[in-house]
Amino acid sequence: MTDTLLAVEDLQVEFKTSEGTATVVDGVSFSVNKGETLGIVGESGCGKSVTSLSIMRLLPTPPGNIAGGRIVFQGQNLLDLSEHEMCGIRGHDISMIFQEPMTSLNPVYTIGQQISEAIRAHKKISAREARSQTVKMLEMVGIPEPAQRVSNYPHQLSGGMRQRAMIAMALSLTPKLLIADEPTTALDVTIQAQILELMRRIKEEMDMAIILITHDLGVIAEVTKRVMVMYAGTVVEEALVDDLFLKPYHPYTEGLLASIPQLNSTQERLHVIEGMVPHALQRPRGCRFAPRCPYAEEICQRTEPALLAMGGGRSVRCWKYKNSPQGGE
Amino acid sequence: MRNLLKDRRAKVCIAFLLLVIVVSLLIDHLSPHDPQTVNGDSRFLPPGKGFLMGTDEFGRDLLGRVFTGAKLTLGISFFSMLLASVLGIALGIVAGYYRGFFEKLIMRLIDITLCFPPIVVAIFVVSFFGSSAAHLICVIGLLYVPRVARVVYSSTLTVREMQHVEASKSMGASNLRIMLINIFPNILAPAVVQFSLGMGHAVLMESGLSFLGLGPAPPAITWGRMVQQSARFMDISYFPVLWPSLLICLTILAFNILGDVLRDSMDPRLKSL
Repeated sequence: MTDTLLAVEDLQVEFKTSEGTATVVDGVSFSVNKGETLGIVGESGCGKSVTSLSIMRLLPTPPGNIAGGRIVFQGQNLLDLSEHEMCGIRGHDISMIFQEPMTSLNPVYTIGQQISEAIRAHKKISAREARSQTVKMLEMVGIPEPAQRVSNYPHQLSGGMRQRAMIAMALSLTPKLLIADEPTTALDVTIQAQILELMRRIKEEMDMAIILITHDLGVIAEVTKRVMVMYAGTVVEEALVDDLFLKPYHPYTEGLLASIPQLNSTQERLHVIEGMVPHALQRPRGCRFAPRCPYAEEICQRTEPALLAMGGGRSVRCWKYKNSPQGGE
Repeated sequence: MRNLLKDRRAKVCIAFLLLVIVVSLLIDHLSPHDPQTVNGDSRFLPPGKGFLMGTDEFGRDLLGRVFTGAKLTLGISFFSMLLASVLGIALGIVAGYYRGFFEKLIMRLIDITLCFPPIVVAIFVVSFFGSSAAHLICVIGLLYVPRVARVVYSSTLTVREMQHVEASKSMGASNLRIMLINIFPNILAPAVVQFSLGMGHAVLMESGLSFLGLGPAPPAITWGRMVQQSARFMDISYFPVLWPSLLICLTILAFNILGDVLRDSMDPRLKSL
């Protein structure tokens, strides 16, 4: 009924290590509609970035390996495409921005050269046209004096400017899907807000879908509508942002929300989820969160819960809700 | 690069090397004497009027011979380093970028190449294929490939992990494009340093091989050959040995210092943005 742009179905990603095969992403499924923003949250090592790299087929193989599942983009399974066909999709239909604006640009070329280079890799246009398009893109992402800035080298730009240039490059071919992997983590808070505002504006202007990956729930609240929480390679909860903040279902989400500093609270220490994400090679037998879960029961130690649909577009992976399969509010 | 000209050591070295190169290229016009003309009346002359550097055992003009020899010695060194750089950069980038099978194959081949003592390889090649400038270029060039390849390989390993490589991939760049646009310009600096240091080695190796008679055969003039031919008459006049030896020495020194300065100027810890 809705226009599904990207559907990831039961994605399994393994990494071969000397100690054995680690399943880093285990049965992740989600979909992104046209023009929608999906947030993916989770702490370090939960498989967020691996999921996004798998969509782009940029996973270093070996040691990485997509062991199963489908990634359907506009009705086409990306996992079936040849490397050459994939090159045509990257940048043109799906593009990506990265965490480190300091190193995401090639230091030996001006930003103008790099952006027009990227445009000309996909479109047959003259160097001059590409350049004027580049200036337009730089203007759109809010770089002052774009006509001068095109001939700057990355080291002459500040971090925020570089991230803007990076976004300009990623958007230069008007992709249908933008994957932003922690785009604001390396920036300071004021710049962070500007970049998020920019992404929101551009999404509207270009009618583009965004997958925003972050460990910062504040960022998610600001930009996305729907959010997916990942833990140890699996999706543990999926909900609309407002619902999630109002009433988290999964104990892990609860813990995450409780660890956000509150301005109006008098507590001195932040809430901490005890323990660590289990190592991919030593995952517990039952629920992956059980060892750290304050509500863990006997069944949690034994068997892993399934992802339960809770109604209202929500789902959660927890035994707490097994008796209320349709029980969402 | 601009900083290079501010460095006093670099300035002296560049000036010296340019002087040698320019004089050797123009020597036919600058010198009144033909470097090959034998003259029985003017044997073993010390430096003085007429012959600025003196004459050798056949009365030939040493100035002319030293700078004519520079052409061949420097030419062989340059082209062998060019060969080494082209092959070394290509192999190093491929090994470092693709990793896996290519990496193992190329790096092990390089290890094997490093096992051969250069002189033995040179004797082998010359005795099979005859001695000529081209053979010498191939021998010196191929023997230097491993050094360049290793340096380029290790730099490539660093550069390939940089995010701009991944960013380019995410924009749909092919492997070849990434190697040419993202990797090559970023590993060029250490390769240039290797080129300069390598030139010093190549001059030494060329002179050594020529001294052993493995270089281009006479009447071709190289510095090593000059030293070898005149060494027998050192008790009569040491100038025929002194000039080429001095030039070998100074040229190597200049290339090495230049390489060191280049390396320092490219050291990111010393570099100011």
